[in-house]
Amino acid sequence: MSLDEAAVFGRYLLGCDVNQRSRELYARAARELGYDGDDAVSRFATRNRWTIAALDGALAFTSPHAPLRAKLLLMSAILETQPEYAAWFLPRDRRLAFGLATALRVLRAGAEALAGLVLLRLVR
Amino acid sequence: MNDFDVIVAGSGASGIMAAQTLAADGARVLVLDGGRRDDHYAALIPRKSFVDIRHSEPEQYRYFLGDAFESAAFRKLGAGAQLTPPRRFIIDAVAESLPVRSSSFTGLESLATGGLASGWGLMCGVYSDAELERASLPVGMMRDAYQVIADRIGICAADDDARPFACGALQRIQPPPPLDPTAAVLSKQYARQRGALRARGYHLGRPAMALLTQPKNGRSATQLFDMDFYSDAGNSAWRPALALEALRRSPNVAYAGNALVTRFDERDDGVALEALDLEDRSARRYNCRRLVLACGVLGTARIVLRSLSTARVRLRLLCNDYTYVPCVVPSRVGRSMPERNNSLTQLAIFHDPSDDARDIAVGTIFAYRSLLLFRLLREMPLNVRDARALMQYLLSGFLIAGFDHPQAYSDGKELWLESDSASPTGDRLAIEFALTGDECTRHDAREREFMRVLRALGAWPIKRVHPPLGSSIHYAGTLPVSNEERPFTLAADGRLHGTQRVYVADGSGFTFLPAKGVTLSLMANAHRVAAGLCEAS
Repeated sequence: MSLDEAAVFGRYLLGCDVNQRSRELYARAARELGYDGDDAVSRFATRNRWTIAALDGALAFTSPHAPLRAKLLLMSAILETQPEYAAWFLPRDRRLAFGLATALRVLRAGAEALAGLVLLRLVR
Repeated sequence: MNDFDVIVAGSGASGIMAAQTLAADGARVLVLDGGRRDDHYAALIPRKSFVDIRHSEPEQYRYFLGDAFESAAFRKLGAGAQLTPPRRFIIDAVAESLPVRSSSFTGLESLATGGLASGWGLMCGVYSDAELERASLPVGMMRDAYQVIADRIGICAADDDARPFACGALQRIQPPPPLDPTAAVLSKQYARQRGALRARGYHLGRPAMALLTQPKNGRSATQLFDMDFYSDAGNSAWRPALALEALRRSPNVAYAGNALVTRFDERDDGVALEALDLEDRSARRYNCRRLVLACGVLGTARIVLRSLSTARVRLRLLCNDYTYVPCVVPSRVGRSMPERNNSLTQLAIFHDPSDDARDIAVGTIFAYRSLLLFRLLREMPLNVRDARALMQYLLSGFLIAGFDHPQAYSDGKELWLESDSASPTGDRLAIEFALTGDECTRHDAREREFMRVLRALGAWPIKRVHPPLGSSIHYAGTLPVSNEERPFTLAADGRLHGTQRVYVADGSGFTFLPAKGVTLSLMANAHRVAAGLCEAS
């Protein structure tokens, strides 16, 4: 279960399939930290991948320590410490257009979070 | 029969300096400490730059997140929350061996060799004459002691507006490391507005740091690997464990670890000391002619309360109130960061509103990179995917500004011992610590003005974060220096009133806690107390 979850979360976070090592580390870390329990929101999110951003965004406002957030942050931490994905996390020179695109991304995330608030009520 | 001339309880910044001074004078010294050390992570960390490690080391997750991924777990904000896995030995065994009950104070204690200074941020601050007087420390002796310590540990600083506040009149100071480019933006803005800011009492410059930028006594100059929160490669950062290692080679110095000193009993010819073995919980006993307590303010308070009183005595406590402010420097976002850098304090801002050096608050500016993005993502009200993209973009312009307030005695700040059957010593420390209404108002006004200054310097504050009281890890004042022979106070030479042979060499005697980092002054005071002992004997 954790391996599948890791694959889904990795793709959500970086937009690509993440390597087997990262998935295995996630499964091990989830066991170590007791994040491998079954909760309704995480289960729904992994089965309906298109909802992850919305639920994640809504939880960031309403319940930042929720299991889904904890799992996503754990996966993010693991990916950050893999040499293959260092470029996704280390700062680098960017054009202004990239900054504008990032700002639009944040606006979209806000809209998704609003939709997520509704979705969260249904899932829970 | 006394086995030692002096026993020094504690090997932190204070204890090790006292031991060094005593040993140099030829005394037979025993150093006791909890003995916790990192014998696991240090060997895993390669001597490479942070960026190089990130791009090339498959095992990096072990020291960045921990073998049990403990750093990746949500943890309540408080003292020690930001300790990286290689530094977590500092608080190893503390929760079970040194229990504390408090709903208002999150203190930090250590059973590590080197104590809390094993993770010290290396910032040094020489107290002004006015601050020394308020702290009841002898000005002339402390001035000399600061120079002795600076020569022992090696300090770097710049010749700028911060220097009088950070270094006083210290000589033989090394040049500072290169300034982070984002902090350099603030430095340039300060140069433009220098007159106006100084008129308002703000003085900005490079901090004094216990970091070598030139080789000294077999230690290397910093290689700017930006791994300061994880490793002490090259020993460019001064740590007490380094001094202990050197001391243990002296024939007149002995060392015993795994010892939790619990109480002392003064006799006609010396002091009997009891300690708990942290491994097998057995009792250990030592005898000495004189005892120097340097177990940290909270640790020393436990020992003294146990040894001298049966009734419930309350001691006053000082601790700096600390706030931090994440900021963005817009002109620096979307840029790369230099591969060679350091994670330590880049700039210090001293706020001396009355221009008499009596009530100085201290701002510190840190660049952020080596603590990794995931710690920031946890705090963001945004989905993790987009928070990652946003923070990667902002990171080069991201700074953390900290702000420490000076602390004088006031109501609502006390500690005492109470019984606890679950504790290995049968007791625990209870702490009440709350700021008065007046302190809250004063601190709030000062912080707001500090944030306005940050904006004027080109750094835009995002929010103010108030970690729990106690998080500054600067404690003092439990056994204040007093001219009268009153119980639970110290004589000017550090002797515990009511005893003839017990001395306190940590910050317990300070009657005021300036906002400048306390560690250098702890070391100078410990040297002063030990030098006095040498003279007396």
